[in-house]
Amino acid sequence: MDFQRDIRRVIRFFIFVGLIALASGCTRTLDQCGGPKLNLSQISQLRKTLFSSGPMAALVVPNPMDATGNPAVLATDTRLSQFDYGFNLPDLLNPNRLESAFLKIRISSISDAASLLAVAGSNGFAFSVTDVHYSETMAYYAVTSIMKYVQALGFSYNQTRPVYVLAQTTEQGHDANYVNAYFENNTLDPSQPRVMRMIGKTDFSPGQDRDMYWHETGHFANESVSHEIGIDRAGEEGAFYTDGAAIHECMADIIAESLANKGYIGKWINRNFTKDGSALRSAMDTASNKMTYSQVMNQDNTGTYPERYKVAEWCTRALWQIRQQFVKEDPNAGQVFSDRLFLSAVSLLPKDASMAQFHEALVSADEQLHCGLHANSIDNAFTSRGFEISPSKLKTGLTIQAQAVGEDSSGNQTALSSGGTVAFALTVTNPNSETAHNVRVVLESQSAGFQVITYLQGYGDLPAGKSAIVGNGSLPLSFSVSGQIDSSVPTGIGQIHYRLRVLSDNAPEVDKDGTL
Amino acid sequence: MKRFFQLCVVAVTLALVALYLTGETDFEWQEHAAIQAKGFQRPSKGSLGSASMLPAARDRVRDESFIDPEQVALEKANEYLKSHREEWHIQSFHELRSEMETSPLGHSVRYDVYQDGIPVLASAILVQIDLRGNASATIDYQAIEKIDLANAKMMPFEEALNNLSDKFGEDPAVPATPRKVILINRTTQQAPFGELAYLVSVIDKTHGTPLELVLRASDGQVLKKVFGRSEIRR
Repeated sequence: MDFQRDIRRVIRFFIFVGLIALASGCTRTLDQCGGPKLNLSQISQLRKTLFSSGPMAALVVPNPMDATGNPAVLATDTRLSQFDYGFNLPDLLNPNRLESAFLKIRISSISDAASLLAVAGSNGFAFSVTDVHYSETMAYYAVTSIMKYVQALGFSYNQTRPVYVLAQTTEQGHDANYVNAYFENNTLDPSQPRVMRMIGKTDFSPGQDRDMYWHETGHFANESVSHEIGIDRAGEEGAFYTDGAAIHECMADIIAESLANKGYIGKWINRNFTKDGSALRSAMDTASNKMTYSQVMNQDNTGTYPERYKVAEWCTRALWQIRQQFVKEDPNAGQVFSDRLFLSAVSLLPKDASMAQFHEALVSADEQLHCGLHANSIDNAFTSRGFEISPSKLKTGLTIQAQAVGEDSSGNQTALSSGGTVAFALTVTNPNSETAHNVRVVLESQSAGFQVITYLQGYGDLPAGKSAIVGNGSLPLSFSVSGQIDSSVPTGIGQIHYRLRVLSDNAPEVDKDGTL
Repeated sequence: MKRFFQLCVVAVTLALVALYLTGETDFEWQEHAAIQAKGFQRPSKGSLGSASMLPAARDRVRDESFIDPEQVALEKANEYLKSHREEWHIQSFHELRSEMETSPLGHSVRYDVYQDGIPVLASAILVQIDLRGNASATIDYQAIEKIDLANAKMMPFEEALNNLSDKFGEDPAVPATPRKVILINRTTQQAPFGELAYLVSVIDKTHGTPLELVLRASDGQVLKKVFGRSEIRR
């Protein structure tokens, strides 16, 4: 009897152990559900942008405003030397030159003479903030540090072509006070390097700010992680607005913001436009500025249109909210796991991705990396900001009126001509009683003598009864799809045929054929 | 009672051994998929060692038994491509050059398309190998007739660019080095066909913005423009 009782006890014990094991399986933590492990101690060092080897650089990071907390500080302020820190610069081919096998720092041209470029002194790469060599040094440090962080998360960069960074250049047709930045992936040409340009030499030059390099390198990360599939191919080919463009900007912002752990970007460059010390974009809501999806996405018949940077800012706020959930679960590593989740989602996006597809990709990536533990958090971050995950299907397609017109290089309307550019004066209307989401117009050629140049334009969301109007005094013709007529093809005799397709995430497609 | 405790000790030991042998919590699925694909037994937890990134993962396995997950993924992708080549109508004269990328969700092999060393623009096949070794593909490929490169009519590049000198100019930051490419002309009413073209980086003189420009080689007609991604609206 004793033996039978003991056996029952052992069975109960096994059941107990089984329940414990089951319970531990049900309470998995962030790093316990598939996917490669992360070396969190290495990543912790990378988050501080600390490297163990290489010549030293003295930099005020991320920029003088953020480093000092003084919105009025100038790059010329001699007290800034009290705020610089020493950073090792890894992977240099020559300890005196800012160049690795992959990353090449220049000033204004990829063929700048070596004699013009920064050379390490006895204190390493130590220059005053206003010295162009400071911008070169910042460029190397900033691009290297964010690339190593993203690689440590398990992503590879396409390094078949080098990246050239022009740390302080100008844009043709503008003086040195014009400020901008570019990332050119040069997707089409496998023999061409990628180029990052910091445009402008002002009191608040973009080349002096780590935020700018981190943002532009974010575009490079997006292209590599998405296998150069063209998540915003239409934007690269001339579209003014697409969801893909907004996602590109959103991701470039959020990784920079998250790595810096500061929830906003571009205070330094924004001083060129405003003196109030505000950021260019913020991933955090403020009392006076809580964005909703309809605020950034709706066409309103008054010439207001979705703008990629506004939609991107909305998107970063949703992602920042998801990041907060990860940080709540794991205060030490949550932000690392959320960054990995966001970039993993980008790896799942298709060509010309939509915001709805980005939401789906986040859910799918979380399912693969974290057992789908954050599905509700992801949904909530989007829906609480007005995004409809499952919008009702509209019964009626949108209506389109279109007139083909000529367009000159300045975007002005002209007569149609052989060898000229064709754009369309368009009115796209939503006749339904509910909003049409992600409205796009696609141009297709049906004749060999007509080459499509800008094949897609996005118009955001069209509320019930509203229209997107291009030309005719509303949005300029640069908001239209466009093509090029062969110089050998006469116009006006019906030789060129085209099709305009009106697409929406939740309305039936409408096609309109035409002849030039 | 003494026997009960002895049984308990045995039970706890067995439970711990069972958990130890079946524990998946720090098992790397990429390695798992790679090793499974090679027909190897899953290695024990002990042989995998502590958690770390891929380079360290390589160190865990002795050289003679090391299976490179990237190599395995590439082989899988090549096999997948080979088995679908007919279905996707890939022409025999098109060379596919591969490029491997890695993410926490698996591996991706991108195949760019070339004819006689000349790239076919915006034409690629992407094969993705997920964490469990499953393959899937995204096809952006059009079967086109082979271009007769030896007899193709070509306007000198300088003349083609000169004809557009009112709109486009050389980019002083990135000197123009024209390259021959093939662009697929897609119209909805006839089969797609390839056109020999020039690809060059230039500046749009009106806006000052950098762009890639594709010009038809035979007559200099603009076929495509690809813009850089600007921080401030162009």
